[in-house]
Amino acid sequence: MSEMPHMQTETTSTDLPTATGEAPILAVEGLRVEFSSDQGVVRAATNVRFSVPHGRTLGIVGESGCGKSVTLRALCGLVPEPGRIVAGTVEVEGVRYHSGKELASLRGEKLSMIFQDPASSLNPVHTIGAQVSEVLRVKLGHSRRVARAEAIDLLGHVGIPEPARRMAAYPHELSGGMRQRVMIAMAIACRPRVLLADEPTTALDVTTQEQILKLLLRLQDESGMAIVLVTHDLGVIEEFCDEVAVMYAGYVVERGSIEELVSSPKHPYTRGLMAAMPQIDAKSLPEVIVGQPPDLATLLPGCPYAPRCPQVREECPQVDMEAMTVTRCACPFVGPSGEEAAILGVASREDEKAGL
Amino acid sequence: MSTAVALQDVGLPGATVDGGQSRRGLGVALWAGIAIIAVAVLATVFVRITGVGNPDQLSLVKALEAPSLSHPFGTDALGRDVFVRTVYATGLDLQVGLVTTIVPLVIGMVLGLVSGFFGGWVDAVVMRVMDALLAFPFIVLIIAFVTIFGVGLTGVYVGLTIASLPVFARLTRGEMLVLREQQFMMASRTLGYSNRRIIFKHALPHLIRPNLIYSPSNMLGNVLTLAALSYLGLGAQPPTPEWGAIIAGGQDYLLTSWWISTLPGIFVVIVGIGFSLTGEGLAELLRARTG
Amino acid sequence: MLKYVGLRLLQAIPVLFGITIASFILIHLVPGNPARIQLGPRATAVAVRQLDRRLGLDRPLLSQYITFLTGAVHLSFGESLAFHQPVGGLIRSKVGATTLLMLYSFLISLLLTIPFALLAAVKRERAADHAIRIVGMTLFVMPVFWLGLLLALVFGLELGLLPTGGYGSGFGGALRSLTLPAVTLGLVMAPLFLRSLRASVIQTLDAGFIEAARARGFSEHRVLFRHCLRNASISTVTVIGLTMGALVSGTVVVENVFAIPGLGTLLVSSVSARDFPTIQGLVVVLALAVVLINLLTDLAYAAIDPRVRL
Repeated sequence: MSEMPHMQTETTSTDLPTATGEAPILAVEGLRVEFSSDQGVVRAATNVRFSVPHGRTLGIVGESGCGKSVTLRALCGLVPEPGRIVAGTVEVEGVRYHSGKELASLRGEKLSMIFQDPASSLNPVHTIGAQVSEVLRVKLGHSRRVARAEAIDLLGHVGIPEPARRMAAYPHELSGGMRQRVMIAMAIACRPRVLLADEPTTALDVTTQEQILKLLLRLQDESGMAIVLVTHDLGVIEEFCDEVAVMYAGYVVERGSIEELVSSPKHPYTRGLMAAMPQIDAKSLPEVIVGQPPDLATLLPGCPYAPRCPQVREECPQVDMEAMTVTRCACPFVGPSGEEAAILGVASREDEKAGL
Repeated sequence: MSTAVALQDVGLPGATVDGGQSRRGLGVALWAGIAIIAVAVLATVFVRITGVGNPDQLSLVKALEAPSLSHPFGTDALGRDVFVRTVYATGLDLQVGLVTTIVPLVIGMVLGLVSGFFGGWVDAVVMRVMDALLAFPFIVLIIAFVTIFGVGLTGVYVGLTIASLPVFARLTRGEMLVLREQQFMMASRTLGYSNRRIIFKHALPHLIRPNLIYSPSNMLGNVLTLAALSYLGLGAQPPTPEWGAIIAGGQDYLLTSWWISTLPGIFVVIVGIGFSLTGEGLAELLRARTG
Repeated sequence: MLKYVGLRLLQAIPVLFGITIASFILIHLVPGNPARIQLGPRATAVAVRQLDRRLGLDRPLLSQYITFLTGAVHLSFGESLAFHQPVGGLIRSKVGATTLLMLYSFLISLLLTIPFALLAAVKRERAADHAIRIVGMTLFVMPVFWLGLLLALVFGLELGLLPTGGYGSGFGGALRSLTLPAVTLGLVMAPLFLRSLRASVIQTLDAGFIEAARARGFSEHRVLFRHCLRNASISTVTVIGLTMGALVSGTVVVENVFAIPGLGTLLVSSVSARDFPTIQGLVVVLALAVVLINLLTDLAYAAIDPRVRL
């Protein structure tokens, strides 16, 4: 498949409405991740494009199987076999990287990652102290004594009470929230420029979720690091993120600031997600999006959301997704305002009923 | 399991330990194993029926001859053809292996079935005895029986049979405990206790599965133990041809007539690989059925 | 931790009882009169009765057992009929060689297992993995005594590198004598451990904390050895514990192949000589060895995995 020509004129930094004009810390352009399997080539991420400025948070949201976790991992070269980055660039602080291997060299220094389940993300046979100290010794070259002292500092900094005592504890002796704090401590030990977070609060109870998100915000304010947060929880996105990228079937179908997405979502999928969110003061029950996400090994040409889209039209299978996903909304039939889109949608259904 | 998470994200199954061997691969292992054993069995049967080659034919003139076309494994100190003896020995070893697997399988299954079904003190007693048997190193246990019955095959037969019991009993009991929760609860409610026999007939195919999977391993282990005991002089007594005994016979001549002790061993290894492949292939096959 | 150890020790007691009962019964299961069997068919009735009394076979069963049990606790099993020495003393003089051989073999098997299991796991399903598994299967299937003879032939007799029999003096000499036997046993045991460790490493590499370690920018080397191996060892330790009986069995055979003056050679010669007291003593001691090793394995398990330590 030949590559679509880049629209070089549209730079990433002016893409996002809240951009301050300075270069973003992280800029992803045309990222493609593929897995080779018995069922054929699975296109986990196609033509992904977004950027994150200094000190901001980008949320990547979507259903299971949309490719958000794979995209996040691609950013630090952690895509597991049999997958790999086949195209695209990831720019970190102005330096461009093209392969997973190159990005891997940034791990633990410029890029850091925290994971969903703190219970399985910490080594169960090593003490907390040993694990935190290890990062300091290996990545920063500290001596054992210095690393130990710094580890205690770090643990205190992320809000763990009595950090000196906790150094000798094992992961299974701590609560979920504590474990996640330890993870975060290890992730920020080397003062990364970008923190990648894969559903960091999904495995925690609601109160703890709040605390962890607040912690992340505080750390972000202190260091100015950018955060890329992957989640399926729209509530977290709303509360925590500055910008959002919505993914579906490996494509970024919409990008924008959080205010825009909440007040006037454009892409039918985004609108579907918003409508599916339970609201306390809603006038009606949330509407579930009917159907299942497509199988990424057998993606049909055109827009992958077509089978489930309430505004689907005849032309949808002919949509040039490569070109569309460079823009902020991948649906060409959605007008400048949401109402127009709704009207268009109604119109097309009427057409169908009339048998045209 | 984060790598699994990432893979699930794109709809791929996670890594499996044996790499999810493709269907073609698994068939090959099983058939190769069975083929090897079949050849060995056929060889020993053929040799006995047709009387080609005499394992006991002494000939001091032809003693300690190097391997040649007429004597592929050479001759031993008494001039006997080592290859013919090895093939004959196959019959004895396989026979012992078979008997000391089938008998404990049957008895062990009964014990495990009873133990698992009734539970309570029956279960406790049976399992304690099995544990006690398992506490002994295998060869030491067999040697104990050889002590009781005197050197020779009787002690080996009894010893191997008894020593093989615990595993079959344990496997069956484990399967029974699982089964008890499933079929019996339903059946006993609808049919009443009188149909216990029918229940046993339904349970049996499930109970026999782990035992079948384990059988080739058990046979292999027992045959190797017999060989070791015969090597030590405690098992098959001369002039009976047995793999271990043949190899032992060549030890004094190891430097000069190396073929007596070394070549039969290669034969044993090949047959052993046959058992190993059969065991693995069987395990894959039977596990694949239930998924 | 102490509670864990104490619990395991308590659990071992009924097993120890079982072992002494089984060993005790041994002599009584012999068809016919053990004393007569020992002395042979041409023994006089008087001689048989004398031996009977010496072996305590004329006393009631329970009293015999109590004598046996109390003796067993002190590792005293009467007098050897073949050597005319106390069995306990015989055992004590030979236990050193056997223990050293078992330790040496275990060490060699670990040295073989760990690197090859890691290699096979990391290069899963590729040529190296298949090769390792095939070699493993072949080694596992080999009769121990045959492999021993083969190694003795090549390295001992042909190349003259190592002794093929007997027991050298001093620690160095002993190690030299035990090298070929230990390598033999190590090679046969390694495939068992390798299979388990390989599977365990493959499974562990999928775990979250491995990915997290990689995300921190640690080298693959560090991830494998510092993070993966210890966790993967947990389930392999269990497998090792289960196969310790096989280690003892193998030692018995290998000792005889290389004429090492240990408990194994003593056992075999005692059977031929129908030296019942010695056999009984050896059965108890060897079974005891397995129980002890199992206990040590459980301790190792708790040492590796802090979650177990209650």
